[in-house]
Amino acid sequence: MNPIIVFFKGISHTFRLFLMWLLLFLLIFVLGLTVAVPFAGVMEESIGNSLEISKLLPAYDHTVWTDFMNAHGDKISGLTSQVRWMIPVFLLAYIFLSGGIVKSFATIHEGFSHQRFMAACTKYFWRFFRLFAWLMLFQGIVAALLYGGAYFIGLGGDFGNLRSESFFSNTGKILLPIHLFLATFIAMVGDYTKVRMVKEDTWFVLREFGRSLGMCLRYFFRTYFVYLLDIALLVGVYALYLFLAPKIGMTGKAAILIMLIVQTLVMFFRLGTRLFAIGSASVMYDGIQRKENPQIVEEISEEERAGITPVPAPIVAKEEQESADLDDEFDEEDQQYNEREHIVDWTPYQDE
Amino acid sequence: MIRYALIVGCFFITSISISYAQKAKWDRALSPRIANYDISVTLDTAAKTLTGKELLTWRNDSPDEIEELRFHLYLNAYKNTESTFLKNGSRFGRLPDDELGWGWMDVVKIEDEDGNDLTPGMEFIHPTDGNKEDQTVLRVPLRKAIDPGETAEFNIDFISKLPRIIARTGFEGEHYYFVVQWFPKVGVYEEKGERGAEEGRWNCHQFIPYTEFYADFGVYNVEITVPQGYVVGASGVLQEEQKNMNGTKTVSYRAEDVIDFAWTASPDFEEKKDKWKDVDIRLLIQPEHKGSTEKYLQSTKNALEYMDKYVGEYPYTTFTIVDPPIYGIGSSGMEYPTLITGLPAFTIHEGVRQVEMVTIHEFVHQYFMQMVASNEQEEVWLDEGFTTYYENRIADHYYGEKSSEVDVGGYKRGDGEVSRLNYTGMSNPRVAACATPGWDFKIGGERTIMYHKTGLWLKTLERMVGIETLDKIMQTYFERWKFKHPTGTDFIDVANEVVKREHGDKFGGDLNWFFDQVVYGTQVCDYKVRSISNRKQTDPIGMFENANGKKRWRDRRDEEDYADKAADYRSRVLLERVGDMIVPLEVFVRFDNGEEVLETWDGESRNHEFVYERPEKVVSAHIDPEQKILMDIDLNNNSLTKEPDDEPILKWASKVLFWMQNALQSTFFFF
Ligand SMILES: [Zn+2]
Repeated sequence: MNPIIVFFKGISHTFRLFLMWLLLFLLIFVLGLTVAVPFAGVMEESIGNSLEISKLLPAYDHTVWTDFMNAHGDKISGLTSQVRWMIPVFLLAYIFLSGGIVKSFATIHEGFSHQRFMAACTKYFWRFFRLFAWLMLFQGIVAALLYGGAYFIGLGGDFGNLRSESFFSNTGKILLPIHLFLATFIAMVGDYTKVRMVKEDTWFVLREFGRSLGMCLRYFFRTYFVYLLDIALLVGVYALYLFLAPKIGMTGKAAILIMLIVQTLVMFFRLGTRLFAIGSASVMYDGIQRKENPQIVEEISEEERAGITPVPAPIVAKEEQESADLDDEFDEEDQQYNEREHIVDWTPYQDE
Repeated sequence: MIRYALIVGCFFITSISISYAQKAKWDRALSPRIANYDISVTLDTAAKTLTGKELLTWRNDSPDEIEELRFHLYLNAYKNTESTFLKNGSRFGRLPDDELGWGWMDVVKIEDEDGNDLTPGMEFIHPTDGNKEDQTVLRVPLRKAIDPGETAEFNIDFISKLPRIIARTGFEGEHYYFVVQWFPKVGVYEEKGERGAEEGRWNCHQFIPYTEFYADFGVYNVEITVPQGYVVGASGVLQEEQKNMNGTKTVSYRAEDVIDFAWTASPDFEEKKDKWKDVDIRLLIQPEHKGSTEKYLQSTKNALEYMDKYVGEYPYTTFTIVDPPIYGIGSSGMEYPTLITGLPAFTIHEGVRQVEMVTIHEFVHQYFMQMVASNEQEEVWLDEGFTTYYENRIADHYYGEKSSEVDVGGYKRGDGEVSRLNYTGMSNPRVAACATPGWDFKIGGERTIMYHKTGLWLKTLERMVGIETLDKIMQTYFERWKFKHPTGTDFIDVANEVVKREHGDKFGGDLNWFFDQVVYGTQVCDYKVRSISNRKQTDPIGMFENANGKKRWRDRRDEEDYADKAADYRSRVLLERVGDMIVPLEVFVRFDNGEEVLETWDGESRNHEFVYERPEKVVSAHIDPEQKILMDIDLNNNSLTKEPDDEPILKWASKVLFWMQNALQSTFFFF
């Protein structure tokens, strides 16, 4: 349960679910195309034959762009309204698909199964939707408390009392990191709740959220550290993109195509980081469960015994009992789990 | 001389007095100095009042006997919601919610130089809109008429209650004071023929939303008493500062050849100084905005340099920039003689240049409204439009034509192009003509029309006649009309005269055809290349008479070499006038062998075609290729090509694809 190992396991498990990753990416990509292609059509039809359009190649040109929007904005507004409904609909679809995603990580050793994925989507949709509603509520409360608090305590509930804009920057310097931390923490607890609800097949969203919260607090450093690594990776991907983008430029057909590939890769890996996080949470959850409930190893063993090579679970359980609350041993146990999993990984699923 | 200095001063024993003897830049009067004021005023920071004594020295420059005076009591605009200024309160920030928040001005007593008390005869009048509740114009009948050429003196006691800053003037917070329109100010008497007057008249309008001021030039000697610890800034030149025993201090300012006097006081100001040639630049900045100091100072120096070079000399020795606090934002972006307010300047990013744009704009007003003192209520375009034009020019010159306003990452926009787009993007660019008086913009659009449309047609004129000619127009207009009150017609006369001198009849006998459309009309300009067609010239087919007059059928289309025999193309470039504004245009046509032809079109007919019969095909046509006519509301449809460049579309479509995927994946934040 070394967080770094968990983090990399999250990644390796995602790669093992490459097909799922790819399909999810394709869904997003195709949805993007449904906006980008008509957009290109509008542009081509309206100003495609204008000499002015060349000014849009080296850089953004405010005059060309705004004249285009003034004259043909009505055609673009159809697309923007499409975007307006597409995003919430995609969010719903993503909540739906999350059941399958989490289930696929939970059953990583059995490989990706399309049927299982879809079954889990349907099975968990309603409880995940409720979880989503609760998460939004919690996030809303946190934001309201932080910024509402600053508004009422700092400004007496009236912007007329604002004495200096430095109020925004000073409170921002304090509140933004706090908000960032709390928001990511709540999101992380949300991930653990998803994992828990799938693995334990439980219904009571709020109770499961509470349990996950307790778990994340008990193992705060390792759970949040893994989450931070994932965020850092995401930031890194964008930093690399922002570094590369100006170097590639977009001033010729070849550069545009290279950029298109780079952007596609960025999007693919952005989705990847989301999956890595869920994968890591799944691995971490198992580790914590085994630490806290040694008998669960037996359960897993039984489950696995049904189709897979048995594992010497009792050894792990025994060691667990001996060093239940020491972190160092915890890692040792984790290594053993890795070894066990290693065996599992290399065992062909002949019976399936 | 300040007659009433004694009255205020007798309560104090002067402890320290510092004199700032400044040499005058000019020995002679620059202006007619018709309305001159000696004022001493004391600020009561608890009651937010100004108690003042004013000596008005007024010269009758007209051939008429003057039997009454008219005064602006601007602060009564903030007295209640029945004033013409506040009647549509929604136009402004929120109205005061406490008694202290409202402003007013009382003339306690007015006497002529013979000691006759004129107070009983005073009455409010409502010459602009007839609103009986409005108290912003005071009529004072005189006991003794003022003869032509005669100078008369009037002693006025007044109390001004400063409002919370709803718009432009007042107090805000603990101790920010921006004090403008604060004293009884005499209107302008226009003699017959002046600015189109059919007979002698007082031009003294009520205070109307969105319109500003109009006043005669004069000399102001002002003594301001405020608590010690307050930093004071004012129009003109600091003469003396003395500390009084009661914890106050009195600062004296003298402003010559100006149309108004503004001042500010706050203990929070930090003072920054700079110099451009003979001009002392003083910046009074809020400590939290200190990061914008260079933005303020450099943009001021840029504007000084540019206006000095291209329009005329800045004749004053001082220029003060007041940086308002965020809660005093209602006073931001205003222009007064040798003193302006900037924008509350919390610098977010170096490339966001709102501070520079506002500073440049307000500085340019020193020329258009302060020196060339047109009527800011009747002809707003003459000050705001001209100022916008130079703001755009200066900004684009110093900060880049495509990046002067914003330059953050890949997002850039120029101040000039933003001005143009303000107008071209209007839902109704025909809402009103530029020459519409401020109060006649009943359905909005005033700012865009008066500021941006004027700036845009000046830019269009600049590109039509050439920037050198435009500069000559402006220099002539400035030299001829500085320290006077020109009208729009006066400007147009100058423009016609200079263009005729520089270009002869190239633009017709005069440019009235242009001004009629852009200043007095609401025409919208939009020209378009409708289509380009290239058809092979083939043998004619159909029925033809032969030499004997017999009809013969001819059609050789079945023959194998029919098409090959055709040598030339018949190419047709079809142009369309979509808008209702008419301007002569150049049209640039390019052929597939690289040859180029520059055509001209008077732009009058609704459509026009150029036909070519030659071996080459037409590849592209471009109306107004140099984009002189920036008033054209859609520059993209001014050209058409048969060889379109598809790379920009590919680029922007792939950007949209990337943004869209990012937007979709952003939902991951929520679950
Ligand atoms: Zn202005």
